[in-house]
Amino acid sequence: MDRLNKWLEKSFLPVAGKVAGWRYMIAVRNAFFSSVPFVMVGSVFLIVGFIAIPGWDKIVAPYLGKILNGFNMTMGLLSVWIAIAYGYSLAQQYDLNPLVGAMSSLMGFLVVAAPLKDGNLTGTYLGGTGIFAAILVGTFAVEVYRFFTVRNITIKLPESVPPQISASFGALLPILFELIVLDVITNWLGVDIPGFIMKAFTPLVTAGDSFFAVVFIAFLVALLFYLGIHGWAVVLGVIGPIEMANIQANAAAHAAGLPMPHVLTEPFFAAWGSIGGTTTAGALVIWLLFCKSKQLKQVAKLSVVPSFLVNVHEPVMFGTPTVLNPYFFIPVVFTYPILAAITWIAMNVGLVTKPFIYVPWSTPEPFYPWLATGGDWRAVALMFFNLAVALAIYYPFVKAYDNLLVKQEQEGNTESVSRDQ
Amino acid sequence: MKIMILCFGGWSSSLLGKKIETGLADRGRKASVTTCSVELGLGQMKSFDVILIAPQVRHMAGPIREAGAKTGTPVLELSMDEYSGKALDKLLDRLIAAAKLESGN
Repeated sequence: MDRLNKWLEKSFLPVAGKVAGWRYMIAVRNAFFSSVPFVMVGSVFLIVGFIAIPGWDKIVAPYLGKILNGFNMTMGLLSVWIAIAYGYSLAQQYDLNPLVGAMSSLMGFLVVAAPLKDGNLTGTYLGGTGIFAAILVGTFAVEVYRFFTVRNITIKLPESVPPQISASFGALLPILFELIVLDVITNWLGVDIPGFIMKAFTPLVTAGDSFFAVVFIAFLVALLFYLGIHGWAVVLGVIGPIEMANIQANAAAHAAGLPMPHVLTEPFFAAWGSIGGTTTAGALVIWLLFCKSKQLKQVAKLSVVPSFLVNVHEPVMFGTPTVLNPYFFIPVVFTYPILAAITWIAMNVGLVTKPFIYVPWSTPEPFYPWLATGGDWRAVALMFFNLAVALAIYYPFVKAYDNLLVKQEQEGNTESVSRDQ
Repeated sequence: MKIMILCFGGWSSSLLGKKIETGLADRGRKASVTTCSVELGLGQMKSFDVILIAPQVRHMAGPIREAGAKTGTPVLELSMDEYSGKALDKLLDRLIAAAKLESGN
């Protein structure tokens, strides 16, 4: 066990760090976080339009199109927000003017993904389907900006020109270069970059919805948490855009009355797995409330509110602690993927609606599964079922650890040594 | 003293933030603690006197320290016990020492 812990810390952790620290991953995560308020706001309109309260759909029917405008102008423009925030973050990491980075990223994205047709921008790729294009074009835009800036390739104006004016000329050449390249490719050579990217990424996106993929992702995230690393912080750079695009596709399909294609979404893991926090820490907290050792009773007290109000489990993770604690290796690492497997099966046989509404991961259970599925009560039932499974898995390990601590506390008492630091 | 704790969403650290503010006030120092996700915090480091890295994002210590070196802001990595509040006094000692080094107080 000790050897496993050491190997995880020495070999696995630095790899996770390298991946997560890659500046493009940082920019992707930044873009993801920045788009969340807009996605959540769009979800409000989706909830109003589709919440499964009996009779609501008839009341809403004549206004549905108008109501969904709030959704279309936020979720439906997801790639626009990503393009802006990605360019901003990447430019900022290079110490370039972030606003210029954001704007040239957006310009490039629109040129490539929203060609003009009869004087209007084409909207096809502005929602979830254009996310990868936004990231790629944003990278190109900022790298060009950086190249020109670092090599000082600018139009040199005479000293007497005011600084603001010469500064705006500084960005002119890279933007011009970027525009020429993208315009020629898209407009003159007729290459459909986002369409091509979509085709290239479709197998990956489809694979992401597979049983193996969701179980593996859950396993990886849980393993990282066992190491005391925020698993989602590492994985979100890769998974985040896919999850966002997927939930938008599900919402669009639902609005059109079509079957929803995806399960790989944030609510999939968060609502039915992260009960009380990732690794289903809520099950641990519940058992801790019944523990006999003083230390664990104390941890339980401090963890209840964060876990059950906002699904935050760092208090119980660091307090128990479960990090690198051999007693908790099995429940912490394996509960989460087991629940992911159960949820995948339930959704793919049609027992539970797939998630199509994005609500914050801090939404308390059981509201979370209810809202994310537009009010499907079976989703709530599944959540409770999963919690019961998690409780069953955690029980023997919590009990064993409690017994150990009680023994230590008793021995500590007879030696009259205070355990407080 | 303006302190920023870098973590994932920013919420998990706000509990610690309050403990730090109270603890430092008890030692006669005014402090305000902000919490932020690593990605969004990387660009704001020059507005703070000390940066704390929550243990669950310690895999990002490299980029954070680089950004801190650029703005001359001291960066401290928190241990599990410091983050959970079990070793609060030790953490307060470290914070005061870091602030002293920076301002020559």
